[in-house]
Amino acid sequence: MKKNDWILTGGILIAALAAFFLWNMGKGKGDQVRVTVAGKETAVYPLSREGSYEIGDGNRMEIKDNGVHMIWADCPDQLCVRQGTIQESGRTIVCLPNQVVLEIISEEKPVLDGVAG
Amino acid sequence: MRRNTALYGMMIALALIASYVESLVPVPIPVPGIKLGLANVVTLSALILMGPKGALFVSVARIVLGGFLFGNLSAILYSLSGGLFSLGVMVLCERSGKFSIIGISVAGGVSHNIGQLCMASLVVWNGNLFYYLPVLLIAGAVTGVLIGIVDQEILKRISGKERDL
Repeated sequence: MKKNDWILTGGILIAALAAFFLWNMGKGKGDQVRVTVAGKETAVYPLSREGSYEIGDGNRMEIKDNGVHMIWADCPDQLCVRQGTIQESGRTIVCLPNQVVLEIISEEKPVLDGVAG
Repeated sequence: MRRNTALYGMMIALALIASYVESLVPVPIPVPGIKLGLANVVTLSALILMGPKGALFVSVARIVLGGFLFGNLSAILYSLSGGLFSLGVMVLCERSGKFSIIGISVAGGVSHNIGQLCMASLVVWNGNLFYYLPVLLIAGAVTGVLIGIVDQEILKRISGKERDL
């Protein structure tokens, strides 16, 4: 490895660490989960409302203990299911094949109540 | 290029095999876009042995064919955005003469992940996907070093022979 290779690799790792701390600064627990399908917000649920919810035909999420996780997806890679539970505001679970994004938010927004999904 | 039909065929075949083997390996970290990038061994070799045009041809052929064989249209979309951006960056790094194969490979791995992340953010229209950026940067750097070492060893063993084609 040349010296420049080390500088490049080290620089990338430092940038990654910096981004990591920057991203996580001031992130508290969120209280709502926003569901977005193909860029359109389809529902917002408070994290206090436990239960499982369908997202379109391809995904099912569960709200439990103030967190959200994907419990089922129809895609082969199951990445969104394996991403586990999210709680902090700004965290997301993504299902790329179905273009579904779950996102924890904390600001007070009018809750879209009801059967959306 | 016409004289090199066999070379191109072999490189595309090798790249496809690498893609296939890669699709069999489960990803230990559940973040969209993380992968070993085995096919980049071939792209990188093509870049060194055949130049940017050859690498572009092999890379695009591999992504389109591999997408239809082992993936789907959206997989092609992500692979193309990552692959083309990555190849562009690797060409610049190679041209600069400042990096060894490993450095070029690291730049390629990281920029592949950045390209895919940008495309994914556009597709789901959500900038919050950049939450994954740190993980993807580290993954790209680590796999880049590994792939670079592999390619360095390969080129050491075949160098001089293919170049004359």
